[in-house]
Amino acid sequence: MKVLRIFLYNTGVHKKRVIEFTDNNGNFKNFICLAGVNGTGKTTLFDLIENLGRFLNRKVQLNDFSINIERENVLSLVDFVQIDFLIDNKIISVVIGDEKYIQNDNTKEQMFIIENNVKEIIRKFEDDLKSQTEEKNISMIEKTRFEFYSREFAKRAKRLKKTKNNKSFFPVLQEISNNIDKNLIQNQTNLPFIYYFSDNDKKIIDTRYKILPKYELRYDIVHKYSPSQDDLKGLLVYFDYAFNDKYLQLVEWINKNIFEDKEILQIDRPNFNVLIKTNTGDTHNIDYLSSGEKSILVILVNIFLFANEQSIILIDEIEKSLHPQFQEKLLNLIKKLQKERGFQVIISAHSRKIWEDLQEDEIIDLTK
Amino acid sequence: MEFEKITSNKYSFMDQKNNKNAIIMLRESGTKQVIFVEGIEDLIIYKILYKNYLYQIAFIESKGCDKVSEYLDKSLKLDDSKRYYGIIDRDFINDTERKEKLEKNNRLYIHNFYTLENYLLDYKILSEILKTKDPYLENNLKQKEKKLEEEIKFIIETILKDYLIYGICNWIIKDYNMEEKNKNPKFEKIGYLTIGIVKDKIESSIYHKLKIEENELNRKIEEKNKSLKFQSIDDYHKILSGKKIIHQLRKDVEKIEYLPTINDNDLDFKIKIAEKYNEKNIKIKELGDFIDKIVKEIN
Repeated sequence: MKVLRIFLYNTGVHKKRVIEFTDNNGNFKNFICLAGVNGTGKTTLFDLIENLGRFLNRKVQLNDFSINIERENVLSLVDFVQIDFLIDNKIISVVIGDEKYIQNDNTKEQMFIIENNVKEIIRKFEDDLKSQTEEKNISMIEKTRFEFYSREFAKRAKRLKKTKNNKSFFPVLQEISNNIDKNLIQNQTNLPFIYYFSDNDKKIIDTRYKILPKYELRYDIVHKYSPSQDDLKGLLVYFDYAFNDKYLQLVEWINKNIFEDKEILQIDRPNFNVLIKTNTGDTHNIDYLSSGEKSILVILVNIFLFANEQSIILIDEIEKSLHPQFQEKLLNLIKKLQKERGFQVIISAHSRKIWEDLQEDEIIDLTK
Repeated sequence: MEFEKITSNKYSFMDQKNNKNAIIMLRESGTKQVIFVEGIEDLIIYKILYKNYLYQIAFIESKGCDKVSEYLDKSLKLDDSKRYYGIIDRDFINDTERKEKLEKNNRLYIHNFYTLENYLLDYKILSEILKTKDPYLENNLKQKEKKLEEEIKFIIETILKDYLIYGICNWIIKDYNMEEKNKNPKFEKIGYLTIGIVKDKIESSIYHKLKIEENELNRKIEEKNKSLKFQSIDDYHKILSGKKIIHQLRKDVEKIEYLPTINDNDLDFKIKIAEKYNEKNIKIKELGDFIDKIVKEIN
C-alpha cells in the first residue's frame, strides 16, 4: 500500500492543494520528507493519513478514532479531503466532504470510499463531550452516550460508491476486514498497514512488571504507536519467552546496527527486565537509556519487526531528541530497511542533517 | 476545481551537486526574505554587515552573477515568489544602463560600485582598524592619527588610479566579447598585476588577446576614458574590482613603517572591516536602501 496524493480543500492551513507523493511519471515515491516552517500543516497530513486510512477497514468504529476534549480530531476540521491509496496497483480513494470536489485518476482502476457524515458525528460527539463532562478521557464518558454515537456512526451514509470495476476491489477490502484484530506476530501476512509514530510518542515508559507481560499487536489497518500499549520493554521480554528465535534475531540486529557503546545483554527473566551492557562493563535497565536512544529504538524495532512491502511508515518530527549523529544513523537504517522490504516512508523534519542526507526529489516543502 | 499542486523538488532548479548547501540554507530560510548573492566571500561579508537583519533576511550563495539572475528568475515562479531578491556586481555597465536595468527589475540590485568590496574602502574606518591593531603602538599611532588617515586615503587613490588601465582594458575586452562575431570564444578579463603597473605589459596582453593594432587600441582606450568622465574617486570604484584593491592595499599598508605587519589574509581583513561597519552602524548608501526596502516588504 502507498499514499499517492492528498487533495485538500479548507482543511487546517491547507486551502486548495494537492500534495503529490508521486514523481513526474505518476509513480509512487518510497521515501518522502515533509519540510516547512511551523504551522504549514505537516502534522495535519499525518493525522489525515492516519484517520482516513482507518476507513479502509469496513468495520470501522467510533472508538477507532482518538477523540478527547484537549485536541479536536482532524476529521472535524475538514471541509474536503481525498487520499488516494494505491493497493495492489488499484487506487482506493477515501473521501471526506462534498462529492463535487472528488478527483479522478484516469491511469488506474479507482474506487471511492466516501464518508460524508463522519465529520458531523465526530464534531457533535466532541461538543457533547465538552458540554457534558469534565473528564478528558473518552473511557470515562457514560456508556450509553458512547453507544448512541456508535450507533449513529454505524448508520453513516452508504460508504462505497461503486465504480465500473468495483468488484475487483472487494477482495482487498474483504481481506483487510477479515484480518482485523488477528494477532500480527503469529500471522505475519503481507496486509496493508499504516504505522504512525507521532511527534511526542516515541518513548519507552517505565513499566514494572510483576508477571510476564503479554505483548500482543493485533492487526489493524492503522496503528499509532503508543508508549503505554506498545511498551518496548514488554515486547522484548515477551519475545524472549514466546518467540526466542525472533528475539535473538532482533537483538543481534539492534546490537550490530543501533548501539555503538552498549548492547542489549539479556532479559532479566525473574524481574522481567531488559538489561543493557555498556562498553565500560556496567549493566543497567533499559529504562535508563536516554530519550534519544529510546526514540531511535522504538522506531527501528517496530519497523524491523512489522514493516513489509504493503506498509506505510509515518514518522512526525523524526529528529526529535536526536543528536545529528543519531539522526544520520536513524535515517540511514530506515533507508536500508526500506530498500530491503519496499515499504513507503513518510517523515517530517526540520533538521539540516536530515535534509542534507536526502535528495531534493525526496523533500516536499510546504512553506508558502 | 483546480487544486494547487505541491510536489517535491521545490528547489531543484539550484545546482544540487555543487551547491547543495545553498539549497539547505534556502530551506532553512523558511519564510524570511531571500537575497541571492554571488559568492561565498560576499555571503560572509553580507552576513556581517547586515547581522541585525538576519532574523528577517537570508543571504544565499549562488556561485556567480549569472546564477544569481537565473535563481532569481526561477524562484519568481514559486508560490512564495514575493520573498526572493538578488544582488550582483556592476560589471562594466554605464550609469544609464544600470539605471535602466534597476528600473526594469526592482528585485535585482546592481551595485553602484564594481563589487561589494569597493564599499569597504573607507579610509577612516581602515585607519581605525589598523591603528588599534597593536596596543603597544597605540599611543604612537594616536599622534599620527590624522597622518595615517591621509596616508591610507592616498594609498587607495593611488591604487585606483594606477589600476585604471586594467578597468578600461577589461571593459574593452567585454565590449569585444559582446559583439556577435566574437562571442566564440569569449576572452577572459586580464588579471591585475600586483607588482607594479606596467602599461606596456597590459597593452601587449590585449594585443595578444584581441589581435588589434596598437593605434586602434590606443584610440579605444582614449574613447573609453572620455566617455567615462572620471570626476570623482567614486567613478574609479565603478570600474575597478574592490577585491583587487583590497589585496593591493594590504600589501601597500605594510610599507608604512609605524604600522605593525598585517597577518590577515584578504578575507580576514575584509571581515574586520565589515565588523567595524556593523559596529559603527555605517550604512552603505544605495545598497542600504535596497536592504531596508526588502525588510519593509515583510509588513
